[in-house]
Amino acid sequence: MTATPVTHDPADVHHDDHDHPPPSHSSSRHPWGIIGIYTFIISEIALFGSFFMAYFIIRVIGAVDYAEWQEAFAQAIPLEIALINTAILLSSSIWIWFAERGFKQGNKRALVFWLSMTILFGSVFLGIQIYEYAELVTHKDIGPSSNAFSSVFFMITGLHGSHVLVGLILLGMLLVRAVKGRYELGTHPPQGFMASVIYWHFVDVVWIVVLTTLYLL
Amino acid sequence: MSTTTTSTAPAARGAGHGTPGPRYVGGLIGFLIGYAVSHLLLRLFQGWGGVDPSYTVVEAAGIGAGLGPIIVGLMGGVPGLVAGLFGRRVILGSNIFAAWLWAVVGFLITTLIVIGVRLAFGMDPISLLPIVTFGSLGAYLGMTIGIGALGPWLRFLAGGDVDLAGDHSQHGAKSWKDYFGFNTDHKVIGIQYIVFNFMAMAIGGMYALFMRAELAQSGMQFMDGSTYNGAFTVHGSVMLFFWIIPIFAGIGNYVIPLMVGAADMAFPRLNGLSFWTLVAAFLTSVAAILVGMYEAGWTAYAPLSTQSEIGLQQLLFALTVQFVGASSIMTAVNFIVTIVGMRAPGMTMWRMPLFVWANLTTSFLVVLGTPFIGGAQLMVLTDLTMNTQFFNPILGGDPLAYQHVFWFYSHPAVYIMMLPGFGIVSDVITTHARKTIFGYKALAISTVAIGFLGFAVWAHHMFTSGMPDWFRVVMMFLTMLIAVPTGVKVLSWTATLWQGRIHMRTPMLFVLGFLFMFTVGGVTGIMLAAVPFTIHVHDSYFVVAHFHYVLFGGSTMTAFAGIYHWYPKITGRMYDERLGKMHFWGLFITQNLVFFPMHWTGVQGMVRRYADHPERFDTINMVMSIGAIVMAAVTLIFFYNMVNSWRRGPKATGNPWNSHTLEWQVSSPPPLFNFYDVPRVLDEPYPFGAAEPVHGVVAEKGKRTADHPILAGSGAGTSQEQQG
Ligand code: HEM
Ligand SMILES: [Cu+2]
Repeated sequence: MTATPVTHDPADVHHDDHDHPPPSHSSSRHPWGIIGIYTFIISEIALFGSFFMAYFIIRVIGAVDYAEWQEAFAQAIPLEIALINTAILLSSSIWIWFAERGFKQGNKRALVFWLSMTILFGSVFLGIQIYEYAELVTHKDIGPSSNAFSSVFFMITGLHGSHVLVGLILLGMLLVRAVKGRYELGTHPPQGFMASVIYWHFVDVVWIVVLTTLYLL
Repeated sequence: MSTTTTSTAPAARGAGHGTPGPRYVGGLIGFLIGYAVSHLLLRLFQGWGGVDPSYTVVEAAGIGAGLGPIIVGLMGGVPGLVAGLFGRRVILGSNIFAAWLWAVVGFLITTLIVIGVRLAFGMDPISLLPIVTFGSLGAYLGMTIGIGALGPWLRFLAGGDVDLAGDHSQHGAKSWKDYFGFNTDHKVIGIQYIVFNFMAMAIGGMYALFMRAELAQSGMQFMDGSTYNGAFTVHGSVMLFFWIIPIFAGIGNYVIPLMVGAADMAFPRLNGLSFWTLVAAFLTSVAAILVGMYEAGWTAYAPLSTQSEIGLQQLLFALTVQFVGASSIMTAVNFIVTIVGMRAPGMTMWRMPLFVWANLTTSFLVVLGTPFIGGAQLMVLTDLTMNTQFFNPILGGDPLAYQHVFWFYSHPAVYIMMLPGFGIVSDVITTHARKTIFGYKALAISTVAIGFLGFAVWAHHMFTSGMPDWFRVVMMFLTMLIAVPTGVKVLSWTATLWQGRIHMRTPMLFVLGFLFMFTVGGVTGIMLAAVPFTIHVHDSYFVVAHFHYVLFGGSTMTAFAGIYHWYPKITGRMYDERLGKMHFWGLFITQNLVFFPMHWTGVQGMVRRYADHPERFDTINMVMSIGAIVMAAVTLIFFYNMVNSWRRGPKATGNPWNSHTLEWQVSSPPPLFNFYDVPRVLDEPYPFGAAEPVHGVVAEKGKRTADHPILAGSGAGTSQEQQG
């Protein structure tokens, strides 16, 4: 935070106090936005955790024989598609790393290109996810209300999908700002940029957990 | 609160545009439209929800028929009137009327989208629950835009050239009106929270009185069972979600940045948004009450809460939980970053006031725990709207899953409700006993220890729900283990009192009252943790007695202590000590009158959450009900004292209690940005009895902190570690 004096409209100036904050002091090595995003991510992990907890209870502790549905489901969702999707999402994490590098090197073209690539891959991931949903609902007759496992499946993947969507919106914002030249390239990216990047990596990591628990185990 | 001296703004406001004629016509039209729309919406939802159309909260409260719809109509009519009168300035300005209007617009737009999408997919276009779900999200978005919370963010999102960090455009209140609008100043937000929470407490208390009236005698007096269910559910939820959890966010909001020597919270705009999200939650909750009251208990166990007869109300309850949770988490993130990242130079972890420690720990509990109640209620929400099967054993679900996920939040939540109070107790006790706190590190560490342990004991709420025996034993053992750090605290506080020069001012009285009440509540807690005993008293009035001793005698008393303690700082005036003492003694006596007998009735078999009880409990219940009425009267003394002292009380100095923490080193109320320069912290927070007691130094107006005599004289300006 910089202590830029703020301009005020006349109605403001009568204040008998000073009208801008004292120079701020940071008691941490990390910028506030970064501490903030990591704290927020803890909370996101907990949110996913609540559904994994429910899943665990339903599947492991619950009295119902699980194997049957498990089998039916495993046949319904093609693992190959999920694996391809994993590759797509994970590679986007690499593209965004290139974008970040482009930023630091002051290379606007690289920044814009790799950001676009990230967004493209993220969108494709979402598209395939939606396609998978449609397949399940229309052809395999499995929907969120079919049984407890399908409920968990749609809930967790849906939650993850909505996180991808939020990530895409954030990245879109970065792209707009990059194209408009709002960034001072060649330096360390500002907090907002880094926070979005961290968030994107988080979304990717969560997917691995989702894949392992829902598709593989 | 200074008056506006520049004349431009009010003059422009008074002049208005055009002749008065069309304006009044506009106002009338606005009123009619607003009235009609809200009236219609209410009828529609009542019809869809299958609620008897004449049913409203007002009737539930027994205040006469037909008033409810009129009140709802006025809720739309008044904003319509104001909008019609003042036109664009209101509709496009950032104020509560605009917030209301845009909320309605947001609701209608999302409703249309939902209908459109459903049509496109060949579904039945009008479906109540999806409309309400998405509609409230739309309303929330509309409201936050209308109140002016999102402006700079939206411009930033669109790629605009906005300096988010240096934005102070909505900081500080110039008149009382600013307290009804969006603000980014933590001091304004703190007051907004506190006033709002007291209002919620009054509402929650009203419902408690309804229940006590019903319970005064055996047999049914004036409610039916379903109304009684609604009453205890609303009472519990309002008290937890809108009183005890956010009151500490409110006090913390005001005090924490001052205590750590910061100009504001780390993310001021997010802070304002947190408050307005809480308001949105409250409105959602009120909407539920208007269409028929949610009545599955504050715990909202599935499958009770997923039954379709009360679907609409429970859906609104689930949405309320989402909003409350979001608000809590945003605030907690803000507190964490503020405490980790904005402490004044010299304020090491071990020099933080204990309220800061408590707040930091609580914030981590919120960040880690709150998503679990969000998740639990999200599953209820999809069960209601999409027919998911999480809790349906026939299709592989497990009702216990709800309880596990829910209590994984809700046990830590009792510490979210208690730890900040512990922090307040530490600060108050050392100040008013004029003695440095006994065992500072023990208090800080035990706070963190309780935080950790709190996550490992959730299933002690499910001893009778079905679980393996070994798990019961583990839970029992861990629960009892929490008594150790808690005992450390009680001992430290008592030892602080020992040989202190105790000033029996109101905050101190409340703390002493807390010590007594909380110890009783803690002892019954240990009893409840003992499996054989809890099987006997589970879901009885013994449990009700326990959690009122900890929540009312414990948390609420500390909140009062904090309010009295920081009242001079917040308002710049002193409260009336005599009324304060009356409040304390009245509350202390009536509390025990109301809640102590519940231990006995509980053990004797009076069941919790029942609208009726056997005749043999008649006398004792009458006593408790009378106690409750006296308690309400006593609370009125408190409200009178607060309001009257704010207007007429003697002016407070910056440091009326001669305390050492930073918030007391500035004027009361503090300057617009708290400090004129970054303060410097030199020593522990409670140096009572030291030869030259200094915790930290702050700058005078127009000066630098380094110019302070202490720093300039001793050369301490260069070495922060010097002992004061
Ligand atoms: C010494 C610490 C404590 C222990 C050992 C303890 C133990 C327990 C136990 C075992 C129960 C379950 C009783 C049953 O349903 O059979 C319970 C219920 C409850 N406790 Fe505590 N407790 C403690 C402190 C607190 C605190 C500090 C609060 C809040 C500020 C609190 C609030 C509650 C509430 C609200 C319930 C009722 C939950 C419900 O609706 O079922 N407790 N406690
Ligand atoms: Cu508990």
